[in-house]
Amino acid sequence: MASGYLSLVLHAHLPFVRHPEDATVMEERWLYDAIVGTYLPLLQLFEGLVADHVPSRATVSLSAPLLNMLTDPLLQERSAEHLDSMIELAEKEVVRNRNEPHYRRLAEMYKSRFESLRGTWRAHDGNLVRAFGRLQDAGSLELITTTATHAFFPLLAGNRAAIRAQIHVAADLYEKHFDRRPRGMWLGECGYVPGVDDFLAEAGVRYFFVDNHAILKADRRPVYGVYAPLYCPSGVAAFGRDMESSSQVWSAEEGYPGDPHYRDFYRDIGFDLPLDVIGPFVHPEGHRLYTGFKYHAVTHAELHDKWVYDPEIARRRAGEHAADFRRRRAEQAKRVAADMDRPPLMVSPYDAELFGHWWFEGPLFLGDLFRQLHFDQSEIETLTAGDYLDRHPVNQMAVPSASSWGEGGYNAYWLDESNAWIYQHLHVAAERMAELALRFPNPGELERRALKQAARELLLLQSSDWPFIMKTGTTVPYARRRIHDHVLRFQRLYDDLRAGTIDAEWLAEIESLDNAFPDVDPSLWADPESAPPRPGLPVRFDLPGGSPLRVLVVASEVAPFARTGGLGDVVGSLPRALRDRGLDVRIVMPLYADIPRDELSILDGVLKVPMGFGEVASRLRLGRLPRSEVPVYFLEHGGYFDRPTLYGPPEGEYADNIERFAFLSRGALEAARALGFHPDLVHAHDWHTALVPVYMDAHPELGGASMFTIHNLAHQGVAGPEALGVMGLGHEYYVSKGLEHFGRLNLMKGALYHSTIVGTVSPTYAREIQTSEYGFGLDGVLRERGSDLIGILNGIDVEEWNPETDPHLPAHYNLSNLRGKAEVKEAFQREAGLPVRPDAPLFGVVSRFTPQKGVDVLLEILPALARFDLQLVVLGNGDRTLEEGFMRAAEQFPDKIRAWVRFDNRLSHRIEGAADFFIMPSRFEPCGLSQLYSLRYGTLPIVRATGGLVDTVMNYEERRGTGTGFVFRDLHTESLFNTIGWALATYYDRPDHIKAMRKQAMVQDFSWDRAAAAYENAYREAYARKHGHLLPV
Amino acid sequence: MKKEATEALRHVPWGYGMTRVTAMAVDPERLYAYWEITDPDLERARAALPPGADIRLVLRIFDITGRIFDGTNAHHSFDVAIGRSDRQWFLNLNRPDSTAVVEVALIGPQGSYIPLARSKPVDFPRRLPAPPSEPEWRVAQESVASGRIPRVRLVTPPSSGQPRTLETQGKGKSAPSLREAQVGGSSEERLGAQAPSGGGSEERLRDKQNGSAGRES
Repeated sequence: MASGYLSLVLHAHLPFVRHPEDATVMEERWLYDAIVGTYLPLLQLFEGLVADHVPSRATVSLSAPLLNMLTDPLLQERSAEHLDSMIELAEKEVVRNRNEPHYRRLAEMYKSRFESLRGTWRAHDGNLVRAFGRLQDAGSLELITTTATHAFFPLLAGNRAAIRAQIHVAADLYEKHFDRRPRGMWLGECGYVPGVDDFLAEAGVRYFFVDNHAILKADRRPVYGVYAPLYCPSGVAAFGRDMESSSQVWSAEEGYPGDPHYRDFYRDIGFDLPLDVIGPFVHPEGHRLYTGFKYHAVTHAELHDKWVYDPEIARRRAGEHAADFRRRRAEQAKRVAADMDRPPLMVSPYDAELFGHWWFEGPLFLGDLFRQLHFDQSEIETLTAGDYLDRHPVNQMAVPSASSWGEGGYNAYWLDESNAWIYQHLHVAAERMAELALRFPNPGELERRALKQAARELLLLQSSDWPFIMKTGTTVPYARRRIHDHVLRFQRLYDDLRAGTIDAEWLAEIESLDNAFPDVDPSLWADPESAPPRPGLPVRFDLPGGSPLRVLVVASEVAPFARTGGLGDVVGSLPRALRDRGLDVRIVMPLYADIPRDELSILDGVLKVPMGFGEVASRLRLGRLPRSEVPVYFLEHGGYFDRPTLYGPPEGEYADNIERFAFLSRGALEAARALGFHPDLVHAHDWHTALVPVYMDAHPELGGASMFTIHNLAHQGVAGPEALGVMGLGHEYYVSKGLEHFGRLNLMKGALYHSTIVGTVSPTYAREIQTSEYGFGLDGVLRERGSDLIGILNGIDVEEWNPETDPHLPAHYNLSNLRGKAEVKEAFQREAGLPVRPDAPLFGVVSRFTPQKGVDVLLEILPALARFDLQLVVLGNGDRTLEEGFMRAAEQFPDKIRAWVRFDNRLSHRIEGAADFFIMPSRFEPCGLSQLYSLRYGTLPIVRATGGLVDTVMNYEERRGTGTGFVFRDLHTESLFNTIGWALATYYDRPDHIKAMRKQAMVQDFSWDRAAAAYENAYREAYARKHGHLLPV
Repeated sequence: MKKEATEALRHVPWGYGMTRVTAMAVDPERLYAYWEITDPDLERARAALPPGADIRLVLRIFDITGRIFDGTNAHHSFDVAIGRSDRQWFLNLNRPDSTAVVEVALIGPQGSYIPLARSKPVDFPRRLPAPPSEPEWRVAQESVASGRIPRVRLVTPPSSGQPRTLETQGKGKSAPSLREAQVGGSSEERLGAQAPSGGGSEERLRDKQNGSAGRES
């Protein structure tokens, strides 16, 4: 059993350079030099190990650009020509050095070497990719690839489509060549940021490499240091570079390649010989370059006075270095092994081009190393990252640190004064590619070609090689030219696609030049998040000054964003009034499908909401309550809220409503935490947010004081007890003094027990719900919490409902001048097609047609009422029978009764303004808004004495002529009929009283300011009860 | 190659006609931001300021570590004055393991603040290793052929399948690594005895064989 693992990784990469238009581009020589210097020698090395039955496992990464170039017919042809010319040069050198035995020997060495390499080239038909594939099939190598153009991920500004595409394009290319998905991937420059691995997992890649500090500085300390990989949470493993083995090869001072006996790279005959001799083998215009033909040994740091190279001595040195390397690895492993449950792994990645091209003896070193590891020892075993994961599937989970293997360990090498200018172009191009992919999901033939070419231009633009070269300062003009060409070509394709003016001839030309990734799939970039951002500033709001009371409001609907009834109106108005009092109020509600996104801004960051089954990822958007500085945070989750209606199909419920609103409740609390907002009080409304106070008790760190307001006691959020699991609450909450009610889960009951204080929307209703008649089964609980129960009357929006300014009224009036009301009535009678008679008493009804509203009783007495000289108008909808009943009555008494079956806000304003009386015979009424509108408009309500109606309408007292309306006790036909009769009589007999009552009605303050003061007191009271001390004022 | 020649005469765009700012981390301490401000947007912002001559253009850098930023809830912020024609800035933030957001804004009299653009958040890597903690052991499982590409996910192996931790190897309970690291010879120290971070390309031979700068074509 080995005491240590060695994983050698040879990372072969060159940027995609291909110039069919010009055979003399010097940068294209990088490929030929690397083929002759490294790729063919490495191929020979590994084939030799296989032939000699030396088992060894190593990893070779063939970068995606290399995969493209090595299988490109033009470049293969030029590479073959280069091999021929190297042999030709060697033959010439043999002749030229015929009188210099040392040099001639070397020239002959080169000749036979190049001939051997050409032999290998021809044996594989010039297809090195296939050759390496065969080595993988033979079990000698694990082959991986890099991202598509070796892009540097940390500087792509988080563009997901860009990162995803770089990975998938490469994985697809790899699969095309090797008939399987790549098991691992080499990120360009080991540039990693957390989250990249999610896309690797998506592509089926199981591991990648990072520099050592990515592991050592992971978000959890690695117990095995860099000697074992880490699993990212996505399941993809990260293997860290071992620095000891690295520096032994890489280090300029101590590394093996610097040994004086090794062949020197820089004393090349391309520079040393006169041009008339070497001319044909350097650039046609006479620019000197490295031919690969070198006669000298390193000797020392200077370029002059170097020894003639002695291959035998160098050969021996390579063997000695190999022995040294493996001995040190064995020592290193021994040092560390005691603290591990498995052999330590040393990952040694190198640029492949180091071996052979830069360090001539590199392949010999490697060959000796593998042979010695096999024959001369057994402490160190060679294996690959894939092998390691097969053998050691249990590994520590952590998130590696963002990092690279570049100078400094992060991004500085690719982001400094020399190269920072490119990123504006990379980022915009990536966004525009996403825009194009989204815009053309089904492109026509020409469009498809243009899209693919745009993708190619973007990929080539993203090569990390360009900024690298700019920083290193080597072939800067070439790198700048590449950026320039790809930016301009991409932009033109972008403009042409959008304008529909693709130039087919130009496109064909570009396709033949930038021909990497022939099968690229543009739909990889189709991600709305990655497209260009909408212009516009983020939504902002001001904070109140001082140290205000902080309140978080959570509700399922908030006018004007979403509203189905009174709840939405209240939650859309109260916060404004609270803010006017200086409170720091903030609202959280769901982002429903119908809410326009234009006025909202996305808040960057993932909000993770714990539910019973795991974490749900969501997001926040920010808006503002109109005419205020109150921020509204929208909880965004398509699965839960992107639906046609808020609660369910018409008159129905979505099956998962409990889960949806548990998510809202918990999500709102988590959102506050993620925003750093610590409310003094959380205010929840109705069953949808009933879990808020429960969660606050279950998780005290989220907690504090809470208030729960009942608007609709009929809907309590009832489900079977199995729903507890979804909510993430334990069974200790499913108790009689908690969420359990008659064997079922009852969310509202939970809120009534867990909330610090409980509220409802009028003082009388607060009393009524403590009785069995009005309590909907929860009156017992409400009695129990009676001392913590408070009824606060709702306000109305006094700007929207103002007879002095109402845009829906044809004339205006106020308390001191009621003449306009008569005009409104006259215009309305005309509009309604009723006889235009100022003396006729006009009764109005605006209501939903439900049992709660008692309009069925009114319908019953309509024929009897029609005997009087009056007019009556009805606006509303709901129950079909009632709708039809009112329509029939209108047909029957066309000069007295009119009915509209619909919801119509503008018409309701006119009815409130025009009518003399307003009928509201509710069976129960928590607060009631319509009668408040009536009072404000000087229209006298005729109401049943229930709930908020009691608190807001003062019954007419004939003796004194005071009151603001007509109130009756029992809801049956007789009492309603009699009360209407009483109102009629007063109308005819005591017009002075009617006028006085109108004024008394209109003088009252039903604004939200009054309610807000009461709520602020309630909040402070709740805080004091929860914490045992008062909040500073 | 007529069309190529035409391309050579054109320049890459100076800007893209949209007011925005992008921020990136250079390393744990340094921030890089680039931006563009269009004239119409600048005029609009100027018009929204109260009258007065004291108007400056700034970069405002917010520390929003651990938060979802809503414009009001940064931990701190500070301003860097910029000129109208400035397009980029390198800044020493010295806040490893934090998250920042950058706004380009106009500041007017009485400190009135009109933002022009806001960057996405930038995460700065940590400079120091995380404190010691109990390791979480996992196994990677492939899901049964969901589509063409099998997906991997992590599951917790049974405790019998979990490697022993440092604690259970009998090295003592309270922060063994930190204490023993000072004494020397502890497992953490050995495991942590790697050369400090980075060092790839600076040591690369292509730059510095024999100590002389690379002489590449």
